Amino acid sequence: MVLSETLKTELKIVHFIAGVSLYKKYCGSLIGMGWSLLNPLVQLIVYFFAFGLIIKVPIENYFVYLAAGLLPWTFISASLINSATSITSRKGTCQNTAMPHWIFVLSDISCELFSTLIAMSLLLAVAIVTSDNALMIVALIVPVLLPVVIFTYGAGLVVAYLGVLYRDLPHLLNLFFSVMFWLTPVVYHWTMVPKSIEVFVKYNPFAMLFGSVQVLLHGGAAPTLDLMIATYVIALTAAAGGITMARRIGNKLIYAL
Amino acid sequence: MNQAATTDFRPAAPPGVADEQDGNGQDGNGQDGDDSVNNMAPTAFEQLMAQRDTEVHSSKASVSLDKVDVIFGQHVYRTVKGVMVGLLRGTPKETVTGRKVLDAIDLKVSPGDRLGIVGHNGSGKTTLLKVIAGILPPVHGGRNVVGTIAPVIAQGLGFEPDLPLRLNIKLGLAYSNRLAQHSRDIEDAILDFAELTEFADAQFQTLSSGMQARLTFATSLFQTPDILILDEVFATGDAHFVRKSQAAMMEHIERTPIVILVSHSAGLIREVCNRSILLDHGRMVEDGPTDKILDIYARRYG
Repeated sequence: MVLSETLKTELKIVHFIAGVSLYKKYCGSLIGMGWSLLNPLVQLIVYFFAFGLIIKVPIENYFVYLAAGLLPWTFISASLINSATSITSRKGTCQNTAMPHWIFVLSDISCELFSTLIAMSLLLAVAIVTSDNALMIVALIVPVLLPVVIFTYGAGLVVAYLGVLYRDLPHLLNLFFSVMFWLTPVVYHWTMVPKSIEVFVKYNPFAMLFGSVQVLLHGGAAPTLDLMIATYVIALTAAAGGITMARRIGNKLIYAL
Repeated sequence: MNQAATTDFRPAAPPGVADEQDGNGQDGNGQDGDDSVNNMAPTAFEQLMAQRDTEVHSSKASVSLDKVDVIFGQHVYRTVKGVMVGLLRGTPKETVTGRKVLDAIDLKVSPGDRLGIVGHNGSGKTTLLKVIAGILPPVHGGRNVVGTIAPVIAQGLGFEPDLPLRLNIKLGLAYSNRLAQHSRDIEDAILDFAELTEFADAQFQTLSSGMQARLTFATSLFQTPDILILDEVFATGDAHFVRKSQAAMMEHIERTPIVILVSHSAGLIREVCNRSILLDHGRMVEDGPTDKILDIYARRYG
């Protein structure tokens, strides 16, 4: 794909600002980037302890299953909650520079993506070692994770622009993701829910997005074509929504800042 | 350029040529003479300026505003219906209440124009600059700008208080879409001009407000735009740095195809601008030679 010079320059700025955000996030801390690994690891251990050891969820190799769902979930939820304030938290910068506002949104999500990829690479290593289909995992991990990333960037843009108009949005998103976490098969499998709500759990967009990640990394199998198509449709719809908002609204919401 | 008025805002004299001084060894304002004004420009800045010499007169830069309105206030975007309408139309036309800060501004600026914008407080001068700079999109009307544009508007370029100066310089360049221009040399030149080399790795928040203003000014200075937009930026830092900044900025102005300046200083406007406009409550009420506009402004607002 040929990118225009302007877009290339803007993407370089996204990359740079994401780097600055990472620097600010970890500068001065004792283990620095190690927090990117430690945070999700502790979260995983807590859930594994509660659901794997105490409740004894009947899923084989439960730690990998949990990680394959929890890491994408944390990436999506944290990115979207942060996106809701990406523009409003930079009011001063927006009011004094002509920088396109979407750059801040993509930068914040890129910062989150970097942290997720560190943890994800460790999970990938574990999945490769414990699976009989290591080659397939390596071959399919990018096509499987790509919709999660595309969806998050697209939905993040939508949320960021709406966040300028509705200042309750970050709080609402917090509540939304708290509820959705339990309605999405992250700590359990969709086959374990009552038949009456199975359809909501199985076909909620988040479940479909990282269902393919779980199938690949935990199941060691290729996701079905239907599932892959569904994830790309969800991701591209979100991306189209985000790009449309960014193009049509541009910096006009500066009046609402 | 109008050279009739005697002010402090002269371009730096060539090296080896002393500034005019009065009999007490002071300059016209009674301040101590300072040779650094003559020798203040770092090599990077001189190179930057020299590069512009041949480009000014062949520039195709232009600014064109067509019936631009800017309205600050409540937009129906904040309602569900407003959001839906706004998303479909892609423009916040549905303003229900608000204050018209700019009202049907028509303006064309061409290469060679040094445009001064004068008006009372709240007349919309800075808002107009922000529209031209692309920071504020017009609510109604059209904006067409040809050429690269460098707004030196606020006292900050989005600097982060807890980041070191070097990283803040890079951030400032990124925010003004000049990341490609970044290099260690330009960082050094900016720090040198701001006289902050020894604080290069200190956090921005540890600088005094004067030092922060110097870094902001120096970062804004190191660019070669087609259109330079200045909003009361000459008075930053201590007296020595103010004079040094003024001299450097005047040199910059000389070599920029289009300059648009807002200032409450009639002397500065007279010195820099060959054309001025007068704003009154968001409306452009006069457009013409600077002397004429300043006379009208003085008569109306004392």
